[in-house]
Amino acid sequence: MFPRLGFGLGLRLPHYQDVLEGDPHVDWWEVISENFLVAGGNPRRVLRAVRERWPVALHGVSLSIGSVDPVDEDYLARLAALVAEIEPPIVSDHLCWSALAGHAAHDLWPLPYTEEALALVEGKVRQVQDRLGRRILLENPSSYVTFAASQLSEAEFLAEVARRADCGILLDVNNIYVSSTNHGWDPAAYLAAMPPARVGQIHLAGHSDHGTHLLDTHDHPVCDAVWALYGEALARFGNVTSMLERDEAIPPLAELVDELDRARRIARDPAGVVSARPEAARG
Amino acid sequence: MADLATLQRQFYDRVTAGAPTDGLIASGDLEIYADMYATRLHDALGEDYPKLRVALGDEAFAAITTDYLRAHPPRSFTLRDAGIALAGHLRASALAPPWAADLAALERARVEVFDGPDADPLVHADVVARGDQLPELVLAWVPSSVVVPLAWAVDDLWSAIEDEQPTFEPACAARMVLVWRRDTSVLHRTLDADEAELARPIAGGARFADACEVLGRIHGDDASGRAAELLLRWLGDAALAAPG
Repeated sequence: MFPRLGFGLGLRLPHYQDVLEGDPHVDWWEVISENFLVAGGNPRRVLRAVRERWPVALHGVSLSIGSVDPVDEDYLARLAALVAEIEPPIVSDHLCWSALAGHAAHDLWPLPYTEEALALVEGKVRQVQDRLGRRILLENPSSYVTFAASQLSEAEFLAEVARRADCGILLDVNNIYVSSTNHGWDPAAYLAAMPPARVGQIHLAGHSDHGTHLLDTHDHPVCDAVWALYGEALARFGNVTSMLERDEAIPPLAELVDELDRARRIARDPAGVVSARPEAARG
Repeated sequence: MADLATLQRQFYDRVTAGAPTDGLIASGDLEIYADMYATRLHDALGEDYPKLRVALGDEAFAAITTDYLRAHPPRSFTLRDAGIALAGHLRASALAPPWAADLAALERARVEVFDGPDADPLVHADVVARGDQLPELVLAWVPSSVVVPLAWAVDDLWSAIEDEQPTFEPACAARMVLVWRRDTSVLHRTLDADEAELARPIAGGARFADACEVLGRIHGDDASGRAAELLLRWLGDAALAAPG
């Protein structure tokens, strides 16, 4: 249902030169869509050059698919133009909301998992997919609250959105770990609730521990518990397209390529990953 | 149970403005989202207005951006535009020194030019090829360019900060600054007085003959030499767009 691209990295500014001038062992790249919804200049130059050598997936942060606001038509038109230009194998965004009454939060805010929200997200995903002429993938966010109004678990909600709207799932195993730790969920049960045929991509990332909660900061290497969860995900879903994100404290490219190699090794033997079973909840 | 619109309004008001909520969440801490909202926007403004932040100092910059974000919460899908109204806001703000709006305008222009439209620049060969039709040559700044009118010499302050020199109170001195992109580099330059007279006509696509006429009023018989000098300067800067 979704392409198997191998192992990718997020294309980030500090690595532009190394990527353009070198030959890093990376199967594909993922870019933040919004950074390239611009007229020209260096971002577009780099994107064109990278696209000549690798597949490039588009990962958005501003679709705000769960907001009661309508879809931003200007944003969608620009995204459609970028999709047409670079022909990404995957287009994704987040199961969240980030705008209200025309005001943009520039964050990934959680939804209450209700039937009303489900119907709204289904309709907006269908609208976006119709406009883009393709399926999109929705990523589970990290979250720091749960709503009193929720009627479904996040995993149930995400699976049902994917089924009703006929979209894919971008499974962020770090986000599953962060949210499971923060809310006392069982990450294995989360994985078990995912419909395998809908899981089109996996994200790996690091987080930071703030004592009272984990924060999805993308500023550390992937921790052992998340690697173990990744192994469980691959055992369940097969060798799904995977990528490693780093957005803060960005190390040299070679260091990230080495970290990505760990994902390759786990993919060769998912059951062999060190069993550092994620804790279900904090003390 | 609150409907989704009501719930999102309560969440938004709590996170962005600290409004109270009652029974909204079952677990967790909304303050985490409030911290992230404020931090992300302040960081974005700090990245887009680095010289203003240095010139004002972190504390004053934070106070000004807090005041700005309260008046102008972001409306665009891109963080790039979070500060789009900052210069205008500062012109009416009692929190900022009078030159701050000009520095913000200069820095905003640099943001816009950074990823503005690409275009081939006008080159010597284009000019030579015109032959005796040179007066009809259309002069137009490259599309990734902004002419910024300033009342204060904040370009001098910008340069001092760029060179890691001590900051100073910029002089009150009107000028025009051209901000443009050459390849991928964002540049800016204070225009000479006669060049400034030409900035707006060129922004509107003036012919070389029109430019010579303006220079003629300023320089009289010396206008031709000055016109050639300026044309060579603009060609060297890659500041003019090739004919479409």
